[in-house]
Amino acid sequence: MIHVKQLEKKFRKKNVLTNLSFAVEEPKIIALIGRNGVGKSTLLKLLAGHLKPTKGQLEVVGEKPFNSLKVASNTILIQEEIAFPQYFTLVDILQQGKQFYPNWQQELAEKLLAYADIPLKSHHSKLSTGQRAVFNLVYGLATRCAVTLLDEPMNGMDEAIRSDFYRAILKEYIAYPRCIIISSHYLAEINHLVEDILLIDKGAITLYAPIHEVQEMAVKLRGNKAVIDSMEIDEAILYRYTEDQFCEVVVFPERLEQVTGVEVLPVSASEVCKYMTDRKGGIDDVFK
Amino acid sequence: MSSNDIRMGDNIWQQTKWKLKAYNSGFTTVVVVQILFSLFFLSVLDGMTHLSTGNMYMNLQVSIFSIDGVLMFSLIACLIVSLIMASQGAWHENMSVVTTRITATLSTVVYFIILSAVATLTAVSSFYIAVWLAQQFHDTEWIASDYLLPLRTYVICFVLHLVATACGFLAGIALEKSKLLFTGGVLAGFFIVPYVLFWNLKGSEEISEAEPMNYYAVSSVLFMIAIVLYTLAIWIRSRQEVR
Repeated sequence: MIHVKQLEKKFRKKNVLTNLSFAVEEPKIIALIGRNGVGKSTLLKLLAGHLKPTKGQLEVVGEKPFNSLKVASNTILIQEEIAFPQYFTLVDILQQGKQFYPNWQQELAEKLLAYADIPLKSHHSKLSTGQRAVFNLVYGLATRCAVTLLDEPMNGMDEAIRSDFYRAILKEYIAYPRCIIISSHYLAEINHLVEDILLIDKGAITLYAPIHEVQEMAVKLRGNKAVIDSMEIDEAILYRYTEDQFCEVVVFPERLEQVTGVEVLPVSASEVCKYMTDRKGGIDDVFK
Repeated sequence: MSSNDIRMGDNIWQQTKWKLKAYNSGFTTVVVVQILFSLFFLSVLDGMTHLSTGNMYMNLQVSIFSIDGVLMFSLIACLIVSLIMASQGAWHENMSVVTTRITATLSTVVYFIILSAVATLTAVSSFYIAVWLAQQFHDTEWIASDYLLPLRTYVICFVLHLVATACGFLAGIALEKSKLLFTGGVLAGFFIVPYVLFWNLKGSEEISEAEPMNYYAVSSVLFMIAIVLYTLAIWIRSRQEVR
């Protein structure tokens, strides 16, 4: 479905993506995680054919996305800056979706918008940020494209509507399995939804694995600094925090031989991603 | 999960229909401009009174309406509409439907062809519309000539509108890419186009009604210019990324 091999993308002289490789063979929901500015949106735009790769191979539904009508008709990219004709009401926009997308779900779109209390006679530009985000997501789901790319789709939505629409994504996926890639900064929120995690850092893929594997990838050890130091696990440490005699480390468990005298705690997938992309030091160092 | 396959021709036609609906304000703008300037010319010409004394001391007022002025403002309106259609905003709106750069640009070109055809018809008939409107508010009796314009007038009006939209579209694309390219393009157009336009008329008399073949010669050169400009626009757009 999606094949990416040694993909590179440069903007003028700035390398945004370097040597990116991964493949998605079957319908699944993937979380695209990474810090700000690491190239998540760029990758989604490359997959949707909005951008042209500088180097490497990229195939979506069997074709290079840039200028491919087949990819365009099987892919939808929902992002904050998606624009619709200014004078169109939401009814017109839904009509537009029906006209262009063969699998368009008019009834679903209308029901979801009614649920979110978004009047169909309003204009897209007049909606609040949250309502606009809801509408964009509904539009993306209603197209039922084989590859659905959602770039931070929940930005601006309130907590209640966010959790409802995560559920809507899941239900839609069950009804019509497809490849859904959700870019988000809040992995903890979508833990229950996603099957795989694609973690990008510094323009390259740091991690691409099923979420259950990521959840078992690391453990947290908490206890006396002297005890932890005596364990000789420096090479396995992902993250370390010390204060006086207290010490907390996050380590890969397979590199641990024996753990005694310290507290062992699980580490969530979200934390693993955070630690794997940590910059040198922490925010505390700034204030030292 | 089935794969959607859409034919290029179908997609261009779908997008053209969509653009005709989404950007119908382009048509309204051009027609309103034409009617406003027709009314303006009528009211200005109304003030130009020719008096003559003859039998029965009759005063005669003659108003002459020329389509050239309306045409000029119609072309400017088309140029501005096409410039707006080449903006980043409109370019991004294309991306909310099934499209590629090539089909998006081709459908825009088809939109401009339709706009040019409609603008030609309304420009030619704008005098009659303006007269009808003037009659609603004035007591003056207007006598519109029932003289039908020759086909060559329609042809040249149409290709002039095509060139105006092509210039505006290309200029808009150039402006989005770089201001330097835009300025260079405008300057080059300013110096090159008149030369290209009249190269085959060297030695011949000024274009006149008496020489209809010159109309067709100029029309064909204008048509070629429009094709070159549109081809250039399609070529640039087919390589342009959406950021």
